[in-house]
Amino acid sequence: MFCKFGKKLIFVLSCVLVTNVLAVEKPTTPQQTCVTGECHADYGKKAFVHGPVGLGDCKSCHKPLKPEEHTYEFVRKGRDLCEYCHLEQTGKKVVHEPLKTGDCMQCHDPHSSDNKFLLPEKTVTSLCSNCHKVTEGFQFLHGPTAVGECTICHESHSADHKSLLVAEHSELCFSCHVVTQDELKKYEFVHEPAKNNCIGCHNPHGASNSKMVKEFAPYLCYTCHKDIQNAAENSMYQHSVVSDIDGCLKCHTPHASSVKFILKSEPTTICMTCHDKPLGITKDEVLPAFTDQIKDKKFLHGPVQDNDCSGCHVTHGSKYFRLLAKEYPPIFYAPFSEQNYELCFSCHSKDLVLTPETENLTDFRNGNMNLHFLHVNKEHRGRTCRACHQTHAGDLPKHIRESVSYGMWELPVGFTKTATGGSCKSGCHLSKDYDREKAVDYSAQ
Amino acid sequence: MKCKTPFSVFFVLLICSILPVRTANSDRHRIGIGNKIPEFSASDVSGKLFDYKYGSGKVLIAVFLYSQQKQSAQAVTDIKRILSKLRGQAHRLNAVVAVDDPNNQTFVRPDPNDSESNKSGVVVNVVADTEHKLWGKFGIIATPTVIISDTNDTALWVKAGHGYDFAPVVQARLNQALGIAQQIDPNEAGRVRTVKNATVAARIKRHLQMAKMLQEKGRVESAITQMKKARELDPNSVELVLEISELLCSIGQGKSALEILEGIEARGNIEKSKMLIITGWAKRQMSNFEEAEKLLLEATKLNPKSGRVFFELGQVYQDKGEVEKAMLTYYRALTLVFGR
Repeated sequence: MFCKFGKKLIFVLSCVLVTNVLAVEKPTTPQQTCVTGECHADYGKKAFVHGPVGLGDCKSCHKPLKPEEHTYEFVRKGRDLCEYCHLEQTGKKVVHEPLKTGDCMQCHDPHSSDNKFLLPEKTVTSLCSNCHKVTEGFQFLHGPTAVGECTICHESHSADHKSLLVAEHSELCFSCHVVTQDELKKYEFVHEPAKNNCIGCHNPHGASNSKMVKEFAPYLCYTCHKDIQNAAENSMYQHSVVSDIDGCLKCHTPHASSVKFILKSEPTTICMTCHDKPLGITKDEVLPAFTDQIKDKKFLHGPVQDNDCSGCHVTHGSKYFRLLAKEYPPIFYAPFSEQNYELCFSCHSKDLVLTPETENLTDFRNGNMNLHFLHVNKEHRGRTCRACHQTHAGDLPKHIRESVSYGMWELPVGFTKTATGGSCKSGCHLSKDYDREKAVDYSAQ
Repeated sequence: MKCKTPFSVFFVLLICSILPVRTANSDRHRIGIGNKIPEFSASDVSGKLFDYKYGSGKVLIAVFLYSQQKQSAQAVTDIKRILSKLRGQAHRLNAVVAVDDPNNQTFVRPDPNDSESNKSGVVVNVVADTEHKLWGKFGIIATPTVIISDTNDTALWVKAGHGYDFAPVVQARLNQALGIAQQIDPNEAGRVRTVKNATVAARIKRHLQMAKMLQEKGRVESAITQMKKARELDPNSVELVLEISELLCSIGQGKSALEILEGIEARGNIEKSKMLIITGWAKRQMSNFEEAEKLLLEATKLNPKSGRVFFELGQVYQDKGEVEKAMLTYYRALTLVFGR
């Protein structure tokens, strides 16, 4: 055991002796130059040499502290050391943290380097990532980040813009995304963040998704659109697609559109991606395919004709059945009140139903007797609009129904139109005619 | 028999003469596209009579609103904005807004000093249609309804409701009626168009932009990498090849630039001229001055107004030691860039 220990001790002592023998003796007085063949020799051998080092002017930065011990100190403290020459680096509003504390040597070798700008690392990204772990966990990286070129977007020392950006956010993004910028100018309806706050939605370094958004819709969207979130989550009747991941993007484009609500397509086109087939709403209830309701029909309700489902329906959620925008009686009979027909009155004048006599409001009149008033405006058993009209489309003018569900019976409506009026041979009453020009005398019937 | 026949003929003629009149008065026709707009008169809210008669040669925009309706208010906002853009068109346009009760709403200000409409000088006549007479005349069934006629008093377009496409369609149809040139076909105005920044062209542009920024920062190798990525997306793009070869020349890699340019066919004088410039530049770098001069002289014929061509030619003469010639050529380049 002693032998082993002894051998080790001798080895260590030998190393110390050899080192001392081979070591260059440090000068104990100030020298003309510090860089000689024996001392600090490698300083001048690299590709890029700091100016004072190249000139052999070590005193620009170092001054003797105790010459006899060959110890030195910096000529200036903190950031003053480098700023004395490199003042322009900290001239702007936002200063990189290492500069504030005078820690230039975190990023630069003060003597020489094989890399441009005296950087210790070969690439920009390998240097920055020593402190800035901006890409960890990201599957998809933004172009400049992916190629390790942080200085495309950021200044290294100081900048006039937050986060050391080389320009204002949107200006910077559009310096590469010129096509997007050009396109945004063409459209009247632009999503507010797209105008000047791209990073409101996008992570400028990368993300776990290819669009590099900070979070998936609808959660990202809810950060601003609280009212929509409220409608989507708390309405009595909810539209399930709104809460799906990326549900918002089924209807809306995130940047700009030629129409309001920044829709990505005509409403019916969007809605038909789901409503072209029957959909189960509850265990017992199936929503029929909308396409079946309008297929081959000659007379379409106005909003349907205009491809505008939002004429009557709200997309995000509603307190009214079938996601209707406003109140609409779901039944055959209803006591008349203006509130009951709020949906219809959002387009059709309520005078249509409030005015007993008219020459102008409607063609559904017998002489001047307003037959809408007669049918609908009743205290107890007013016929609702659905009693006679198909909601979406029909084969008869004014999309009048051929029949209407009345309990278990398909009550016929039997409407025919004439040049000056029409007639109904409905299951509601005996056949009745009406004529705008020559009023039919109902008292005789 | 002889007596009865003339009587029956007379009777038939009498019926025929009456029937068309009855028919004309029977239906409350809804105005459709291509129908003649009915002539009408109505007093506006200031008491002034607005008279619409045929033959004025003016476009009519008639807007039917309901005073208690949110959509009507929204339609007014859009229409005001659209009308405010019609500078210089006021004299060609009649604008009428018919409201059931102008006193019971706030969204239509009949004030002739209304700043929105007065930007273009368009006077909007607000008429009270309390008894729905105009409503009946035009066959209105819903509000808001906008009817636009051409200069021949024929309905060009009828739109009921304030839908998602209200603003672009009203704008396009009004421009159409007034004969104002527009980029969009009015029939397509309601078609939804969106930003498509995911196209290949957009991606190529992004790579090119990044390459330019890298080049400016002196990171030329990275710039070339970006340009090559752009080229991978569109290998047939002559423009991209020219950009890459120009960059290679700028870092002294003329030989590599020539390798990339091999087999490329430029189209058009500008593209051909650029190709000659780059090839001449590369040849100069390889000290092949005669060939460089020949190429650049050819480029001057294709694009005689390009200062760049003459600059490159001047460089060739300078490298050849023909100083006088070089100075004259540089002067020519400066003249083209900055004028005499």
